[in-house]
Amino acid sequence: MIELEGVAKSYRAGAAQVRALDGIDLRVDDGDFVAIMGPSGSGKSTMMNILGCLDVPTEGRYLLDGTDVSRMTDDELAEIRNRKIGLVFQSYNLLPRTTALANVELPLVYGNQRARRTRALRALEEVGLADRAGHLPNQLSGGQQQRAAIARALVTRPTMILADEPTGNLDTEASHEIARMLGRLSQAGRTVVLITHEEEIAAYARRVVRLRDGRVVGDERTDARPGGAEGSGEEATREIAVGPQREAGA
Amino acid sequence: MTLRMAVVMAWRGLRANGLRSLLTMLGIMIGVAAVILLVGLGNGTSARLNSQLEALGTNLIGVFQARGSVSEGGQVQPLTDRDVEALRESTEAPRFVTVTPVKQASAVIKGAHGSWRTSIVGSSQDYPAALNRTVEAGKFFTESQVRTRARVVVLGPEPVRKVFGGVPAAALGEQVRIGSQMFEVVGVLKPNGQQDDLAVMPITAVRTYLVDGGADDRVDQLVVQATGQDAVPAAMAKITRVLMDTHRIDDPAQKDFEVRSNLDLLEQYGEVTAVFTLFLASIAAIALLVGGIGVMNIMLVTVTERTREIGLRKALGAKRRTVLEQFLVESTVLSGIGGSVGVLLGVALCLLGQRFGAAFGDFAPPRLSIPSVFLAFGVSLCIGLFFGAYPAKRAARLRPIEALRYE
Repeated sequence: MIELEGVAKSYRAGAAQVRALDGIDLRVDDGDFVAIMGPSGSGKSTMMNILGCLDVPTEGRYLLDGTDVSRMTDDELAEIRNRKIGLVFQSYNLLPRTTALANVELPLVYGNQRARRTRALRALEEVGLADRAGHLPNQLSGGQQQRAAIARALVTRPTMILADEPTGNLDTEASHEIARMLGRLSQAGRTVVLITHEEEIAAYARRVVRLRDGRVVGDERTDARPGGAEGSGEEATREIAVGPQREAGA
Repeated sequence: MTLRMAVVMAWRGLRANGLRSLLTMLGIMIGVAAVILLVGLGNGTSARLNSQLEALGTNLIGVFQARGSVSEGGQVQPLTDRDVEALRESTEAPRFVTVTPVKQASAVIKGAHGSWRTSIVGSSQDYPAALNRTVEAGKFFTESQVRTRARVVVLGPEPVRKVFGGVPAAALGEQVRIGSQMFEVVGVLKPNGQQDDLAVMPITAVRTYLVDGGADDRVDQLVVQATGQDAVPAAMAKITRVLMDTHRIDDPAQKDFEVRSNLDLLEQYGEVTAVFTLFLASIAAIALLVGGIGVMNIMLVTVTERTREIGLRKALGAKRRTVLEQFLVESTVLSGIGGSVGVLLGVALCLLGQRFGAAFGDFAPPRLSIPSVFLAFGVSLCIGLFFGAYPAKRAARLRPIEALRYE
């Protein structure tokens, strides 16, 4: 469960005070798939930093699983990021010269976890990359790199997977594949927050939150789809895959 | 995160910039090798000086007549046979091995093939033992020859060379004229590199035939042999007591003789060579310091280059401490590898110097100092830690959002 209560963030830009977020109230239930959208300058990046515990709000409270993380120190935030948040970035951010498997193991290393290899392999299996475990990032396609990054995000079984423009560097086919994969993860019970400016990627989410000038200006549920939680992963993927077209036609 | 994983990570980081890492290591390597080699050279020089001094005997004590005036107008009494007897007969501890009188003169030795002016030493049969000399050919004179003022002489290597063409056997049994008397050559001393231009004869003979007709009982110097190096201080104290007694002096400030040991000299030389070694080591330490600055420079470059990576690691949950450790381990591995190779190089140079140094003429071979090896290696690790600390701190302080955005 993720709750933002009156979250605001101001920066000092020279003499002027910039209010990037201006009183955000937001609640994301476990297992939900939320897309956060907005034009540039709407506060998306600041939202991502706050949600990802990379930064703390200047006002308001941020409760993650009931814990207030808005006043934590750097090291406490590092621990929260490690245990409760799986981050996926636009530019994948895999360590170069390091195998996919070792990249996925990294959060477990920082969390002092056991059975790292087995858990990392299982995460790679989940994203369909088990056969590429020993490959280096530069031996993988963009889509495969992003899937490895997703495996790294989910290996710690975090409260939330937070993806920041995960399809920004990918072609259309790979973009949809990544979006489908996030949808599948959410159907498997994981909470996914997707920050994007692409409508067709956002359409995979069950709920779309729109930001403008640091405020929430829209919040709609779009998941009137049949059989969301039933069937195998493959079926679910196919169903979701038709989602965007229907939305576009509606 | 375990140390092993940190080392593996550091190794990967260093490998990514192989040439750069190698050049940085080179700085540390040269510094460490220089410390080991220069300390080895200093030690070698000091060891050679010591062995030369030890050849003179570290258990020897010399007694001399005081020079100049004695304070409070006391009269200087010369050292005499009476002093020798008093020292020999004293039953106080510690025991002396020998008490040997030495009287010096100078005279021309005239033989069949030439003549040569040399210093004449009058002494007792204990002379070779007391002054660490060995007889190369023939024999030294005996106690009875001393008692009977026998006209015998033991030549040093230099007079043998000048008068007998350098063949000790040729000199043995020959008669030489010294002063107005004929003396028989009974032995030849082996050279010791210190005092080879001399001729030794019974002290009684010197007094009778060379100085003043045997009426005098003075000696110029006493050489006392203590039982060992450890017994020297006690022996010196005893000599002072006995001689103050024979000279009837109550106040040590007024004593008219001087007691000196070779050990004093050894200590003085020891101090000089220690300073010399320290001087060499500090030159090498400067090389090591420069190497350390190289490490810091390269680590700062590395931290800047890897800003995004640091940001990512922090985003994934690395704490300040973990990032700090990672970069400290990296700089320490860097300087540690440089230090290890430097140790091998320094030790190899020392061994080469020992083997082939003689080819470069009069050269004290380096003596490898094991503590300096450990010290140099330890210092190289410390340099990694010290000069890596600032760059690592900078890495640890980076804020993840800014670091992730860094291009």
